[in-house]
Amino acid sequence: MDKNIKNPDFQSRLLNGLTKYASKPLGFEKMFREEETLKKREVEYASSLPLQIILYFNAYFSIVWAIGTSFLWPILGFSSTEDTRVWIILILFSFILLVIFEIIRLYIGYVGNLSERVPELTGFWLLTLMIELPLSCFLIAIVWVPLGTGDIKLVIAEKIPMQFALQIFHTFFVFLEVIFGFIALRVLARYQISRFHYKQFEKYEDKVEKDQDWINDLDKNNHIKMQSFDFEEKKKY
Amino acid sequence: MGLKSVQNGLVPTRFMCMLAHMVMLISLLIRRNEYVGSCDTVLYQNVNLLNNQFIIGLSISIGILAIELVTFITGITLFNTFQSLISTFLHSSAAISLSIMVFFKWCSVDFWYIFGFCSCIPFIFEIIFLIGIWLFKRTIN
Repeated sequence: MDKNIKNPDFQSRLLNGLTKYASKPLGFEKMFREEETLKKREVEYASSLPLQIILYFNAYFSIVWAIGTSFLWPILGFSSTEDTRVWIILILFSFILLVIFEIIRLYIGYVGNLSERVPELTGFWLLTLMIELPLSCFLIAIVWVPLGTGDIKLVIAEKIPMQFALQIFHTFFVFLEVIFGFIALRVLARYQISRFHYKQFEKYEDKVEKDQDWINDLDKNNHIKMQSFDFEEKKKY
Repeated sequence: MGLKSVQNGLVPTRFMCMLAHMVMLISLLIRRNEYVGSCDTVLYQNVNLLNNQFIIGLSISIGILAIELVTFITGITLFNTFQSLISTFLHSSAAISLSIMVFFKWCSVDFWYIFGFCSCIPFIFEIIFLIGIWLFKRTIN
């Protein structure tokens, strides 16, 4: 591939256009000033601190949440009327799914944010948005209307108030992770795109000189004389 | 000093103790009637007044604890060892005593002792550190 800056070929034009498209501001980064902090730091890292804090505390909290609420569900089973028995199966399945996906999600998000990997962060963000957010909102907002009255009551707040209190924090964490995960993902992806974009223009100019420097430096540093070696030399047999 | 307090485990224990206190407060706020009704009827004749006082006390302590959590998570007092020790000790004792209140059906008037010792003292120290950091720029790490 010849290098033509004045008449760029299709590939370089495509990459130029892609980076321009990806670097259009949405406004979240300006609100939280992630890019300015990226430039001001002495060491450049693109993993977001707020998301890391939230994930760290969420990991500790989810252990307590999982064990605590699993002891509280039988109370709902024993004290259930015919109205509330409809919800018990849904609650059970949503809780099991939440526990399974929570383990995967927290590990992927923690590792993906620390090691600045985009695919793991996207997996984490999609898992929170698509699976955890609806299920944990469901476990708070189950509503029943008792027969004969017009009152609307929350099932879990009425029967098991402690589980309601724990679930509030879980939903709060998930909600924050959706927001901060989105910002972290955009900043990280844009940072990596810009680094890749600038890196490929440096490739062909410096490569040949670097190899020669390496071979020439060997003579000076190690006091070794390297004869020029032709790999395509015909064998003299 | 930040890494050392994470190595010791001060930061997560403080967070879990604050959360435990908060969870007990919220669950008490939802079911108040047993604790207001188990008071001495001769001494406390006005049940509505007791109920209102209980609601007010619980909600004030929830608000104070929320402020503490905000200053904790945003990093102002995250690695402060003195505040961490006070917080863990007092909030864990509050959570334990509130759960004893559930088991033994204490009167709601006894909640004010828990409020005074376990909600106000960490808040006072937190405000002292906030003022020290903001105005005088002194930190303890």
